[in-house]
Amino acid sequence: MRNLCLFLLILLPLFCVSCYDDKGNYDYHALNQVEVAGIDSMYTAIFMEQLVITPTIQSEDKERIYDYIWMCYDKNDFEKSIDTLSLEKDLNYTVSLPLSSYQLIFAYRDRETEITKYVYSNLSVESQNSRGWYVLKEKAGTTDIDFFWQGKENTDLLSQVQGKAMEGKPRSLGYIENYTWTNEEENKIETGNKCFFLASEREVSLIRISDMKQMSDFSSLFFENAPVIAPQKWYEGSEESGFINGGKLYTYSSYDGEFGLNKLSYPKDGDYNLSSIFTKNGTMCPLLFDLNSGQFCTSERNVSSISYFENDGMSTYPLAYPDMEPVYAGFLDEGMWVGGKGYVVMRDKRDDSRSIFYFDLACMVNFEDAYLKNRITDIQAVEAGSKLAEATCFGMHRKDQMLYFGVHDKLCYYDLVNKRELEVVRDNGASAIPSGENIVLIKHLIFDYTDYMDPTISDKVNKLAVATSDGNTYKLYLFEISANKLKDKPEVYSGTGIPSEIMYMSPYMKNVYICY
Amino acid sequence: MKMRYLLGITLVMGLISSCSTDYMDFKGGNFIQFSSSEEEVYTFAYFSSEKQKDTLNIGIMSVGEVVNYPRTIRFEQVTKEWEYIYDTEDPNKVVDSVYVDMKFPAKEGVHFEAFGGENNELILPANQNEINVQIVVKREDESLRTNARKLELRLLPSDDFKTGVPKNVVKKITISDKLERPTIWKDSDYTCSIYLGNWSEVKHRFMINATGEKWDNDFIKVYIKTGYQPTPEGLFLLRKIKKELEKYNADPTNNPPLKDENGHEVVFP
Repeated sequence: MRNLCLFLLILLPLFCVSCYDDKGNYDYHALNQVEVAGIDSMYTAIFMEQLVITPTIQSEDKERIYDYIWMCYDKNDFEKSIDTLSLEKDLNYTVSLPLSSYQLIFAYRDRETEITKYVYSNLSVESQNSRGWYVLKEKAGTTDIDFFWQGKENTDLLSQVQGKAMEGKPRSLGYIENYTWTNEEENKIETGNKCFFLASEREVSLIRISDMKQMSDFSSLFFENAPVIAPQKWYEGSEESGFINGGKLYTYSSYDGEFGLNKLSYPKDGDYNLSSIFTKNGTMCPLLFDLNSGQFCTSERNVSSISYFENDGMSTYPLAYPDMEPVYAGFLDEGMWVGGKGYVVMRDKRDDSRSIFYFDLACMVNFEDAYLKNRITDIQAVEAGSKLAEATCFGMHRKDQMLYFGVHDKLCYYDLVNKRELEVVRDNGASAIPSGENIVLIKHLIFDYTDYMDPTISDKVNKLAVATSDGNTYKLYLFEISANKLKDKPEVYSGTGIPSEIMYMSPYMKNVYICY
Repeated sequence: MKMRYLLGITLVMGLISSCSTDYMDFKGGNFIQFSSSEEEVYTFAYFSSEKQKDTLNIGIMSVGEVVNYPRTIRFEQVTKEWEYIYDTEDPNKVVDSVYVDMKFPAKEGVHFEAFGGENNELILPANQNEINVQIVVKREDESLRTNARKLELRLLPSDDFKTGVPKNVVKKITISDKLERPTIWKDSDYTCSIYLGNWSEVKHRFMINATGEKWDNDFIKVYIKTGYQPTPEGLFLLRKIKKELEKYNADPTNNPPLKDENGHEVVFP
């Protein structure tokens, strides 16, 4: 009897377990095979325009019924908040998403089996202005910008959008990656605005690229006590961004907060007067020139004064050139966080002669041993009577040691290795620029972006931009470079005025990609 | 024996069914305490001489059931304080303490307006578990410019309440007409030590004059102790103060360097 009771006691929990209702389905069979066609790996959509995608579901069983959903999330959003775009199979969506890169997801659910499958794609939401060539220009003593992209032209943007161009001749075309704007009309703060920094002789304006809306003027760049307006140049950098105004350098660092909340305040200390001519890539410190002392100098984050170079055992040339001033500065881009080689064309104020200063720009990279050491490696006098001595504009080849320069309608280059000058011709032997035109701008622009998470997303541009102008109208030539020649049949655009600067804008632009 | 097994089976079934429980109501006493144990420091020094009075809101909360009738809260003003005697060789080591009269107690009618009636009683209205006591502080005593007064309130048991958490039973209020150290600005605090440095009255006054800001608890919370570093505007103001101090110390007519009330040079990190 005792054993019977013990047996029942052990058995009782098993009875409880046995109450579990087995809802398993052991009717094994092959699933319906389905394939989706008609969805590309990458879509580019213009803000507030229609995005239409019509996928086809090829199913073994034609009678199957599915539920659909189109979703996306911003790849730059760490929370990856999902937006639902449509519950229909065919997507016909007016793109109202903020400008960014999205993961686009098409999901379909078999109502019978309740199995959901996903198809992933990429969506880049851009504005009409997100990608293309921007030209800062002088027009009848005022400053405006023109836009060109793949045959489309949109000129005099400031006059169009804001009703007037900026007063005075152009001074600077800069870029600000993240501007925080206080929208007082709607009482909200808008972050992440990509802006152009536009400066003329008498005005400064921050323009949001997506819609050309003005975000800030000169005085609101500063916390308080804005200096007398005398804009020269703006530069962006990963460590520190700077604004040369009236010979003084005002800086901010995005480490201390996005520009907009963070502002400019005091100039860097020191008795200096900076030239507008400088060079830098996105990651290194700028190579500046102080007209007061005749010395090259730079600016470092967290250092309150201008930093001058010092001689060491490897320095071979003097530090100071008080009788000279820079005419052009450019560098050979060897990559981020690498200084590369720098070249500065200097003019001797006493006799108007020119020299080319060669720099090892490791002296601009703050973790290199040569940092802030005098690394002028050569000074090459420009022969009087040479074309280079007459050049009116310059542009550095970013990858080869070639200094482009223009003399009237002749596009030439100075071979910085062999120290000789040659004319640049097209690969068919014709002159680069038609006879009778006048070269006013040369810039080699390289943009080389590939999404590290998805190599199918990329934006690559490598063009030599040359602009000519008769004072009233201009032509912009965008050449592909082939060694020391240019490929024939460049893209050509035209506008009114005299170009002073050009920038390629990409939806993937970062401040570290900008070269000066 | 059979009965024992039957009992065992019943127990097992009981254990299985005992897994569900009913929610219980709170049963306990009713306690009264201040809503915050933080010391209040009020100074008229931030304001022009036109401001002669101001009102402090001090929260008092009950712990326990909310009832449908008014309840009485009793309190007293503490006028004694502990005075510590330190080791002559180790100034941080307390060797004795005595309970003595406060040197600068706040006086009713002079430094604050009377509240609580003759019996020092407040009423917690029916169906409420919190009240704000409005204490009107006064500036008329000129000695507040040299010595701050302490108003220390201690809650007492009443017919309706026992006293609550000990650290919340006493409220310390400093009434002053000179700059007082903001309670959030502690010399040992990491952010304060990096961006503000040690507090002194002269330094604090210099910061106010240089920026036009109070640099009180509210300001420091919003601009300095905001996260891993101050806001951009906070950083700018700190920079501005340093610039102003450089300018001040560069002027020989100021008998530089600027020194605080303890004779130490005013410096910023």
